[in-house]
Formats: sequence, C-alpha cells, structure tokens
Amino acid sequence: MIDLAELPPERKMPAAHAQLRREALERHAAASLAPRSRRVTYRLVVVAAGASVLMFGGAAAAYVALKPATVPVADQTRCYTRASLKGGDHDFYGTTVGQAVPAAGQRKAEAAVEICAALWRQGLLTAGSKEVGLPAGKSADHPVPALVACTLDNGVAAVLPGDERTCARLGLPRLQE
Amino acid sequence: MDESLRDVDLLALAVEGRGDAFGQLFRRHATVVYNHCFRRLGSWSAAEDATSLVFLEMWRRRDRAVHFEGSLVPWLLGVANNVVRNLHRARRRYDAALFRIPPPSAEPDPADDVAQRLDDESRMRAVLRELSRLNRGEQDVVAMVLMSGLSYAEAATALDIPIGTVRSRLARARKRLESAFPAGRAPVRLSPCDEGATR
Repeated sequence: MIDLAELPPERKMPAAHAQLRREALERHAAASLAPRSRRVTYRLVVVAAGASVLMFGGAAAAYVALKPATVPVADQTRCYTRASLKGGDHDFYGTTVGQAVPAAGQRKAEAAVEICAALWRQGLLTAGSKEVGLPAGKSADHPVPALVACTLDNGVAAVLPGDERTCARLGLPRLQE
Repeated sequence: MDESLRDVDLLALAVEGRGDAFGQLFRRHATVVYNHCFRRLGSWSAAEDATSLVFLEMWRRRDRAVHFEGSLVPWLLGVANNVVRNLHRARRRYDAALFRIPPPSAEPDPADDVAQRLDDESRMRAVLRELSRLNRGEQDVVAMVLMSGLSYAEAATALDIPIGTVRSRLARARKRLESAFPAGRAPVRLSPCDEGATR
C-alpha cells in the first residue's frame, strides 16, 4: 500500500545548481527588459535624426543617428547546430548560453567558439537539431565540428558550424578574432 | 532585499528592473516548486529543469500573475502543472542548455544523498503509476491538495476552477481509486485531509 501521507520527503535543490539557475533567470529577466529601453532610445534617435535632416539637410547627421544599434548583449552567445539562421530569435537550431566577459572588454571569437565547442563535446548539441541533449557525464567526448563566430544584428555572438566564408554567406560580420 | 515584502510586491519590483527581486522570488519558492514538479514527474533532475521553466514562464506571464493574499505560490504551482504537462515544448521555447551546463566541480555529491534520491524516484514513480488511473483534472487536484498541501481555496486559484470543483474532483478521485481496488485494497490511500492543509 502506498500512502500519500508518506511521499518521499521534501528536498532542496542542490545549492550550486540553484545558484546557477537563479543567476540564469536573473540574466534572462534583465535581458528581456533591456531591449525595450534600447528600442525606445533607438526611436528617439530616429526622431532626432529626422529633425536634424529637416533642420540642417545634413546627410552626415542622418547617417550617425540612423546607424543600427550595435550595443552588444555582451554575455550571450548562441550556439547553432547548423549554418542557418532559420527560426529567428526563438526557434533557431541551437541554444543560447551565458558567458561572463570583462565589463569593459571586447567579445572575442575564440572565447565564444570555445564555450559552444564545450557544449558539442558534452553531447548537448547535435548537428541539425533544435533539441538540447542531456550531458553525457564522463563518457568520451563527442565530436566538435569546425566552428566560426559571427555577430548577429542585435550584437549577440553566434557560433555556427562552418568556415571563414559562413558569416559572409549569412550576411553577418565575423566576430573579432 | 526586505524579507517581509509580499510576493506580489517583489514581482512588481522585478518588473521595474530589480533583478534581485526576481532572484528573491526564486530563493523563496524554488523548493516548493521543485518538490511539486518532482511529485508530478518522478525525477529530481527533470524537476530541476521544470523549476527553471516555471520561473521563466512566471516571468513571461508576469502581467497576468494571480496572487492569493499576496502569495504567488498557488499560481506558481498552477504554472508548474502546465510546464510539466508540456515539458518538451517548454524546453524548446527556452534554451534549456542554459540550465543544463554541468555545475561547478566543487558541488558536494555525497553518495548517500544520491541513493536517497534514487529511492525517492522509485517510490514516486510507483505512486504516479497508480494515480495515472485518474483523469487529468483529478490528478491535478490530488497533486495540489494532497501532495503539495494547498488549501481548497489555494488549489482553486492555482487551477483556475471553482472551489466546489476542487472538492468534487477530490471526492471522485477517492471513489475511482476505491472502485478500482474494491474492499479497501486501493494501493494509494487518499486520506490525509478534508479541507486541505494551509500552507
């Protein structure tokens, strides 16, 4: 007889896991709020640019103000499982990982490639799959394809299977080496 | 962060951009959600992923949050019900790898804790097998009231159903299990409460 009054006891999530998850959630919440303010700022800039053009007829002013926002989402890297941007921001082939970078530092391709390579090695990523696998524990490393780091329009680093021509083929700039 | 703040106030602070307020909500309720998810899934590791997804869903639906006397627990458990039911889809919506990166090597991992957790999972899956005789609505009520200790009123908030429906589903759940195992031989005893515990 199984008695619901004697269910397995309540347990806490392991502390280190809870901390990682809490930090990831806080980053996610912060990131979801940040783009709104950027969009507002961008709209204001566009309005200001329009006014500049009308007032001064200055093409230079318009260029500066309408230049796409390039503020990077500095701590995010997308690891793609195929050399395609299909699926947009929410249903793409791959996953997003957080990555600490110095506050004043630049994103480096090497670091972005390395963090995605780690996911491939652990078996979390599979070529062409949108699914994320379970960590493979201490079993042998999984194969890591040739990877290249590009920059998406929103400043997020994107690491895709491919070579030095892949970024250009997708219309993306390479991430700084 | 003021510990006396109600959940609903913390959520408002989080929406204003106070990331630590969202973190505080996680600290406050992660264990309740984690254990509720475990009781629905029978796996501690799946419950960890589900817990993260519940808080992500909480954030996504923050404008529609429903509190019960200032507490978000009933609503969170209602969100958890949906997450465990649609775990695969929810994982795809969010990048689950974000939450699956192996923890730091300093994480203590005593063997006895592993053994206890394996035993938990075995027992919980046995319970879930028996409860699978109930329909989905009855299982939800049993999970909320008898497993996670919500009052009838809290369960009604969590499941967005009238309180009378909570009572009737629970009564039907008892009857269904008894009829499947006549003469009081039901392998799951659903006796712990009449009014539901109050958290």
